[in-house]
Amino acid sequence: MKRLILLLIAVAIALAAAGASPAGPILAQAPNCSAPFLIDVTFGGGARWEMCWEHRASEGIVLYDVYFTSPGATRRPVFGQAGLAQIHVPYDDNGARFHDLSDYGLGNSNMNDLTPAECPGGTLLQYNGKDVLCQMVENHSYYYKYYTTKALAGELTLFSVSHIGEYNYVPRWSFGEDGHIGAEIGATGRLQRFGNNASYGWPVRTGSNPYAVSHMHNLYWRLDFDVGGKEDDLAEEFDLLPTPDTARRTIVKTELVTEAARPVSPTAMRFWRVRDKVIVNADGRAISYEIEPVSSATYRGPSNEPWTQNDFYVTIYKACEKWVSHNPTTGGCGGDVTAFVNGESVDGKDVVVWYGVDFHHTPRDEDEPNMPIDWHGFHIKPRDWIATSPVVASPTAPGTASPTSTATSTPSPTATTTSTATATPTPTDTPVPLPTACARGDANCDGAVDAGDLTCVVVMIFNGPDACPVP
Amino acid sequence: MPSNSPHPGSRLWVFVALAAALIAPAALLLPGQSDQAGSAQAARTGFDPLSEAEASRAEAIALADDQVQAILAGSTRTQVLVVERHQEDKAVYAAGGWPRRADALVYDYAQDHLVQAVVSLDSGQVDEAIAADRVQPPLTPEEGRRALDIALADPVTGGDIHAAWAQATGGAPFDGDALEPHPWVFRFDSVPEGTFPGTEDCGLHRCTQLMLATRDGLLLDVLPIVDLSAERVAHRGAAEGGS
Repeated sequence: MKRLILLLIAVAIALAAAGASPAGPILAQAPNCSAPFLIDVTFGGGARWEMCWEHRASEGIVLYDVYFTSPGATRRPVFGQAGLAQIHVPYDDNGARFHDLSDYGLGNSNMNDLTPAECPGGTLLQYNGKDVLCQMVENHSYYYKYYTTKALAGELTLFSVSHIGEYNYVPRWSFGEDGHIGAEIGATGRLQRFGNNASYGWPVRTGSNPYAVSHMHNLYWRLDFDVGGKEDDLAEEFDLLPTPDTARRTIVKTELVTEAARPVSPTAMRFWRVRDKVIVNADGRAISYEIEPVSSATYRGPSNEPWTQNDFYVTIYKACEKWVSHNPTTGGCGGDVTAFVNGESVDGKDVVVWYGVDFHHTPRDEDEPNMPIDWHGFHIKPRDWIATSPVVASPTAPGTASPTSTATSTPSPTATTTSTATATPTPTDTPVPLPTACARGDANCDGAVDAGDLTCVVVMIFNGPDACPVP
Repeated sequence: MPSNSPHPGSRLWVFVALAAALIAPAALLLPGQSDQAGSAQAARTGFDPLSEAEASRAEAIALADDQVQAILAGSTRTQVLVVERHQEDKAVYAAGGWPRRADALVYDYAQDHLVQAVVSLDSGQVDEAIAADRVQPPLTPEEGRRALDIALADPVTGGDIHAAWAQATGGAPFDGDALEPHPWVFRFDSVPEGTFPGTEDCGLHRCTQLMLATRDGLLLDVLPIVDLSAERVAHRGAAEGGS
């Protein structure tokens, strides 16, 4: 027994040493939740998303411990936590300025009990007997295509529905096989304010108060990035600035080393990323995730709404900093995100990004009585997460991918939330060479040092790391 | 023990140990696997939201706690607003496991305190109880109903609601029970100063901006602001653009 214990210690030391390599930890911590609250999807092409979800009274659905594994790459954390941080709805006539998340709440009795028909082909996930979250794994579109070389990407989507006043919001996350993340809210339900002043709305009714009052929906997310781990992150801003004759554009990088509040800039084609300061891909480039702004409006409100003066905020992680506005001030915490930005260093720290998407809703006749759903959000995508586009060995054919479980309103107690997209190879697929970037010890170059690499690992233990070279 | 010059026997032990260490965790994560431990009835852990039983127990522990009762100081005008999992600091999460703890939020309308009790479900004790002013969680359905009753009892606002009902329904007999309150927390600083005179206490007081619709989806063009702490209408809510 003593010999076995010592051997296990040796194994642990060997694995720890391998985990300290620039390629990052080999065996990462698993999402910390029980099976009903775990989402774990592996696509036919090998990509995998894992995360926990929780129902919260104000935020609705919150995600924790979000991990992405790209085919041929190491499994890594992306977010420690991700969720909504406010829905701010100021009306054009100043008759109401709602803070839907903090002041109404997306959870509890305001969260809908979904039916199987609302989640076709998906899985309904329960919170205390209520079907609150629809998980779907669907075909999306091309991953890539070059003549006959092609791959199709699947997408995991998660959505819930919250009844806020007369509105129904549909917060939706999408997680792509290529690592992209979509954060959106669908706005539907019914219009909720009418008046008789043509300056502030659009006529949709007859009789008195025919004008539906126009309004903003300022949507904010809190993204607690843990790129490759919770420390060592840095946010960067990129502008594509034109030369004086506008014939050329140069890329200008600004490192946001202290907490910052920044505006969008469509003319500069501005984007941001959060990168790890230690972990690099096989080409030696820092792994990162970028925020890609997509917005049709930019809202700047009155002085009592300072958080509307910018769109992107980066702060150091603090547990009490939860919402962009009307943040609980218990224990002396700031009341809105502008109070969170107070000059602290975020260089190589645990970075939190707050991002806002504004859209203006000028009602139309079609919105009465039931509003067609209107989606708004933004994209988050990997940048240099991997050194080359991955081999997707078994492209998913359109219309054939399906999760292994189907929607049900009454999941059995043993139901798992895990589903796997199936894949059907097509005969015209052109073989693509294997990527050259594989972690040390990953003898079969499958993206993980696992049981398939035992011989190589054993050789490394006894004969040193060079005994089993990187493939 | 393994040495620098391993013999065949120790190699075998290493192989077995590695196989166990590497294969077992992978097997636990195989997609599609059914897991009895993951059933809805199983004990909650980690980031799992509170079960109904955990929430009920946390509420009972909080309300029976001496610290909480000392803050409430015998007030009879209180309401439990929210009971949910306590979000720990990430330093706690980093340890990989943490106790089941709940936040029980209780509002005291008489003192205008929000009492936040952090309840340990493992020990059955309140770990911390603090009172905060100007922290207003979302309103409960009971509070929405109470605000509607206050609004209906107000001569001016009650008249507004009856008129709006008549307009929305085409003159149907008034039925207050058929009204669905949609209550937002209202704070004076939610709007530019001077927008709604008379609401200056809102934020310190627990107030609501109350939207009303009939159960079959007819919206009433009213939006009164009701002060639940003072039990009065603070503003009838007439807006520049309409209602």
